[in-house]
Amino acid sequence: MPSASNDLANCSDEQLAAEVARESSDGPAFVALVERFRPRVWRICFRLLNNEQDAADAAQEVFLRLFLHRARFAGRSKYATWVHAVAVKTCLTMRRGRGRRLRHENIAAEGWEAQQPAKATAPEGASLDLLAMLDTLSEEDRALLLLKYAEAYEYEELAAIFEISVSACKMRISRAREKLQARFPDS
Amino acid sequence: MKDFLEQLAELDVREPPADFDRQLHRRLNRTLLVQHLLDFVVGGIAWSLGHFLRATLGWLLFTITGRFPDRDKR
Repeated sequence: MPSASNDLANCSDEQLAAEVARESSDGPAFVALVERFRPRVWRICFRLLNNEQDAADAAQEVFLRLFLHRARFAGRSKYATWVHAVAVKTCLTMRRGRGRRLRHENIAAEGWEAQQPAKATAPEGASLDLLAMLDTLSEEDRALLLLKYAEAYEYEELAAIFEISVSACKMRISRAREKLQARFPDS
Repeated sequence: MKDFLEQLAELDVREPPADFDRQLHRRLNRTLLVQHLLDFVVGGIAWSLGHFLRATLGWLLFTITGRFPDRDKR
């Protein structure tokens, strides 16, 4: 006779999510859910935040949100897509917060005037590393390119995660590539 | 440009910290504790307000009318 943990390991994502919704605390179903999604959530967080400490913080925040909002999954998409969307949104929120914090610190240190030209133009020399080049894009464009090219997500998955149509997703990725080409023609 | 973007897949992704699950468990428990405390405090305040308001109302009625509320009618 299979044990309860075996049952949880064999059930689908959606069945596991339903089990988690029935639990009142972080019981075996939630542990199994963390076990199942940890690698993927970690990869998303690490890719988008590019820092081990921030990625750990974000990944924990993702699982915390999954637990606290466990009854909110409406089943309109696959559960895995929903989890990935929560991960991406959490990371984008953290990056925006970090950007704002850094900007405030820079303003205090050097003054706003000195900051403007540095942000508007591409950093000197196009031989910068890949991530620094991606940092010149908007947060969402950067995330789209990272998930598409570093994590090999399909357009359909990305469209579901970012809640846009597939054609809009293709367009945004193509435009983001064009922006990079324009800013770093030598790369 | 295609080559450049495909290089992204070659960038290393480190392993999650060894104590990731333990930290998550601790964080989740702390959050739940705060949430339950908050529920308790909010519920407690509402109950105390209701309780003391009823007493205050009785005192006001007695002050104005000189009569206690008729307990049998309640």
